[in-house]
Amino acid sequence: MRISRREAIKSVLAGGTAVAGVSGAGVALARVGLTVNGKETVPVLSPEGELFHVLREQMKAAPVNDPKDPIVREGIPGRKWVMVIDLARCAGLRKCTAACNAMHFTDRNWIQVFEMKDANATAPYYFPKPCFHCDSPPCTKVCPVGATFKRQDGIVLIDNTRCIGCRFCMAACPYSTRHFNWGAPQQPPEAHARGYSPERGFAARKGTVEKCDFCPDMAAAGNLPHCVQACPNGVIFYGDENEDAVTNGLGETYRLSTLLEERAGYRFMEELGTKPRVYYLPPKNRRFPAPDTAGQTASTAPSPDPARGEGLA
Amino acid sequence: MKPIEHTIRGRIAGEVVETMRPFTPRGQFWIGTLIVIALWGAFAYAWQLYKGLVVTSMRDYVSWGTYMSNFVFFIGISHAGTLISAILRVTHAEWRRPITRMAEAITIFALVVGASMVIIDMGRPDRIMNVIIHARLQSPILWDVCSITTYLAGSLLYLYVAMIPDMALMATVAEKRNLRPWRVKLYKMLSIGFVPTPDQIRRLDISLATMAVIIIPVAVSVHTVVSWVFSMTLRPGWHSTIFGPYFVIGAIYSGTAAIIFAMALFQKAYHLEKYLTREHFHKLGLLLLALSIIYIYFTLCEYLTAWYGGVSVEQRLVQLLMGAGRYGPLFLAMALSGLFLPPLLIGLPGRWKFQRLITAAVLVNIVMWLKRHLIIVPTMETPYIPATAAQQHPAYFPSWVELSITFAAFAVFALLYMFFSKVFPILSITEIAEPLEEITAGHETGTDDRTTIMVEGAVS
Amino acid sequence: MSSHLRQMLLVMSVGIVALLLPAPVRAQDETPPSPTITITESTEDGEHLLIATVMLDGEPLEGVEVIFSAVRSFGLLELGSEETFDDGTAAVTFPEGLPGDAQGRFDVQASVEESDDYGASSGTASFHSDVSVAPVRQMFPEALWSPRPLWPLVAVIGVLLAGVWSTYGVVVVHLLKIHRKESPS
Repeated sequence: MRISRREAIKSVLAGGTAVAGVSGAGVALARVGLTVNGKETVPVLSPEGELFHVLREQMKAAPVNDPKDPIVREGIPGRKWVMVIDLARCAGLRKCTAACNAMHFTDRNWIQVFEMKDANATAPYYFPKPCFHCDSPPCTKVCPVGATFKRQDGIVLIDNTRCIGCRFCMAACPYSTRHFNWGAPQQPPEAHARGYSPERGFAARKGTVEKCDFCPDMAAAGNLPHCVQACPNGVIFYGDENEDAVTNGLGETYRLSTLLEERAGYRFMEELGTKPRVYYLPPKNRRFPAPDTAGQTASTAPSPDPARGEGLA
Repeated sequence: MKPIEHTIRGRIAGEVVETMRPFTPRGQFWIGTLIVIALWGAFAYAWQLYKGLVVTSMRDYVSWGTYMSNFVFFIGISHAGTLISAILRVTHAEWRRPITRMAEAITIFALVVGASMVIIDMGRPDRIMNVIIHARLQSPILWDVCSITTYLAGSLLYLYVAMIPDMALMATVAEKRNLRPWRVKLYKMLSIGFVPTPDQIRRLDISLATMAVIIIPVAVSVHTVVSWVFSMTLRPGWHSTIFGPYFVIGAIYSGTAAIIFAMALFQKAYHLEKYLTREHFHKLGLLLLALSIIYIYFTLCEYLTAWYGGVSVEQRLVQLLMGAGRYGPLFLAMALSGLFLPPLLIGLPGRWKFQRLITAAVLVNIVMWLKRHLIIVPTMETPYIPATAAQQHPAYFPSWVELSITFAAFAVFALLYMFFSKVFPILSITEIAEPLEEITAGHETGTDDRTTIMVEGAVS
Repeated sequence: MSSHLRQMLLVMSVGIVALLLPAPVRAQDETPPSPTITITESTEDGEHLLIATVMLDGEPLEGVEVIFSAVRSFGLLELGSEETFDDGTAAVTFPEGLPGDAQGRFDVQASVEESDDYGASSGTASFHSDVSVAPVRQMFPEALWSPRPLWPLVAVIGVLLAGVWSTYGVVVVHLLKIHRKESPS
C-alpha cells in the first residue's frame, strides 16, 4: 500500500492540536521547543506553506512503507532531494542535531556541527554536516549485501534488516558520516511503537549501521526534515532539485539555481568525485560571530557534543 | 618387488610413522595450554556475541581494528603453501621436496582461521547468508569471498592430490606395523586405489602439474583482492595504486617466515634433521632475504610518496606514523626489527647462521602482524573529517576480547597444524623418495647437488 | 388604517430595525471585504508576464502590493511583488525555466495583505512551463553503486571463476579415473 501525500498529512495532523491559530504571534512561534501550557510542541509545515505547531505527545509518526516494498528501494518518482546549508547564518546552536537525535530516538548525532578552519589565516566557521547522499556514493559501491542503497530520488538509505555489520561502508565514506551500533542501542518504547522501515531509520538494531537519511518519511508527507525545521536561523534549506526550489525552517523559499549562482554555492571536497547532494553557501556576510578557535591551528577543531549536553545554546 | 621396509620410501615412511606417535608429555603440555587459550578465546567471542562489538575497542572513529589485522595476517601466511609447493614445483627446484606438505597445510589452516576472523568482525554474523543471497558483485568483499573460497578449494585439492601416493604408501606401512585401525582405514580410503599403475601415475602427474600451475594466479589474486578492500576506499594511506603487489609481497614474505618457523619447530620436535637439513633452511633464508628487500622497497615507495607529496590528509597520517607521532616509536621499531634487521641477520657472514635465521623468521612474523595493524588503524585515525565531534586524539588499543580472540586464533591454528601432523605424514614421503629411488635404480636424473646431500644417510 | 399611517409605521419599523441592527461601522470582529484576485499570463510586446488583477466589489484596486509566489512542495517561492496600477493590475516577469509537474503545470499564488480598507486575500492559477519533470520510475543505470552491476565486471569475474573451477573439475575427473582404475581388480 503506497502512502499518498494527502493521507500522510492527514494522519500527521490527525489528533494533533494546532496551536498556532494565534495569528498575531505567528512568526515568533516558529522555534523548536516552544512549550504551550507546559507541553512541548513540534513545528509542522503543511504543503501550503503554513506552519503549524503540534503537541509533541499527540504527534503520530508519518506512516512509511514496509522494508520489502520495492518503492523503498526505488524512492519517490520524479523527485531529487537536495539540501543547501547557509554557512553565513549558522551560529553553532546545534538545534538541528538535538532535533534529529530526538526525533530518531538516537544519540549518535547524525547531523553534526563542526567548527571548521580551513587554514591558519582563514576565519573559522560553523559547519553542519549531514550525510551528503552522494550521487556516486562510495558507501553504496562497497556494500556486499546491498543493505545500503541509493534511490532514484537521490536518498541513500540503510536497510537494517539486511545489514551484516561488516562496516565496509564506514571505511569507505570519506566524510565519516556513518555510525555503528556497537552495543544494543538504548531506545525508548516509542521507537518500537511502529514497524521498522529504512525510510524512518528507527528502531536501531545492534550490529548495524545508521546515518542521516534526509527524512524520506517527512518528505513524502510534504514536511521538511527535522533538522531543517528545528534551525531557528533557517540555515538548512531542503527541497526538490527537479522543482528548482529549496525551503528552510523559517518558510523562506528560494530558487535553487539562483541561490547557488548568486551565493556561490559549492560542495564539500568536490575533488573526491562523490557528487554530494548537499551544497554549502560560503560564510560571507555572516549574521553571527565566528567560533572562537584562538590558539588552534588549521584543523577541524573539536566541538561540543550535544549528545552529552555540551554546547547547546 | 622388495618388501616395503626395504624401499627408500618405505624407510622414510617408517621414520615418519615415528612422528605420528601420541604426544609426549611436553607435547601434551603444549596442547593443553593451546586448548585453554582457544577455549578462553571462544568464551570471549561468546561474550562479544552477547554484548555486541562494544566489547572491543573499536568505535566510529576506528571501526576496523584487530580483527581485520588478524584477517590480513592469516590470509598473508596462507601464501606460504603456494610459494613453496607450486612455484618451486613449476620451476623444478628439487630442494622443495620435504617441505611441500608442511607448506600446503599452513595454507589450509591459515585460510580457515583468517576467514573466520572476518566473521568474528561482523556485527550481525547471524545474517552471513545475506552475502550469498543478496550478493553484490561490485563490492570488494564479494571479490574476497570468491577468491578465498576458490583458493581454499584449490589448496585442499592440491594438498590432497599431492598426498595420494603418500596415502597409498602409508596404508601399506600402517597395516604392516599394526597401527590403529582407523589410520589404516583412513589411508586406504584417501588413497582411492592408487596402486600405482602407470596410467594412475600419469593421471596423478597431470593433476599435480595442473593444480600447481592454476593455484599460483589464484593465490596472487587472493591477497590482491584483500588489499583492494582497503585501496578501493578513499582513505589516506589506503587509496594507493600499488596496494595489490604490496600486499602480495608482504604475504609471501610473512608466509616464508612462517614456513621457516614451522620447519624449525617440526625439526626440533620430531627429529627430522635428516630431511629438513641446513640446506633447506639456507635456501629459504635466501628467499626471505630477497623478499625482505623487495618489501622494504614497496614500503619505501608508499611512505616516501605520501610524505613528499604533502597532501594534507596524508601529511597527518605520515606525522602520526613517523617521527614524533603517537605511532612513531612503534613504526620505527617495526621497521628496524622486521624489515632491516632480518636481511642483515640472514645475509651477514659469520657463525650461528641457523639461529640467526630462526630469529629473523620469528621477528618477521611478529612485525608483519604489526605492519598490518599499522596499515589499518592509523589510517582510520586520520580521516578527512572527524567521525564524532568530541574526540580529539582517539587512541586505539585492543580490548581484552580482541586480544583473547587473537591469541585463540593463533592457538587454534597451531592446534590444527599439530593434529594434522599426527594424522597425516608431515613430510611428503613419496616426493622425497622419488629422486633417490631413481638414483639408486641407476638412472641418470640430472638432479643437482642437493639430492646428493639428501642421499647420504638415506641410502645406507 | 390610512395610507399615511401605514407609511409612517413602515418608516418607523424600518428605522427601529435600522437602529437595532449593528451599524455598518468597522467593529473589532467585523472583517472588511476581501478583494478578488485573478491571475493571467500575457506575452504582449515581447514580454512574458504574469498579471494579477485585484478587484474589490467589482472595482479595480489601485496601489495595492501584490506578492506573486510559485507554489513549491515545502513553501512559496516568491517571484516578485508589485503595486497595482489604476486598472488594478500588477505584473511580474514569468519565471522562465521554473519546472512544473509531469504535465509542466505549476501553480502561482498572488496574495494581498490586510489593510484598513480590505482584508487579506489570495488567488491561485495554473500555468504551463516548458520544463516538466515526469514522475517516472526509471531503470537504475549500470553503475558501481547501483543494483545493476557493470556487465564487464560480471563478465570478467565469471570468466575467471569459470576458468579456475573448470580446471579443478578436470583434476577431479582425473582423480575419479584413478579411483575407477582400481575397482575392476
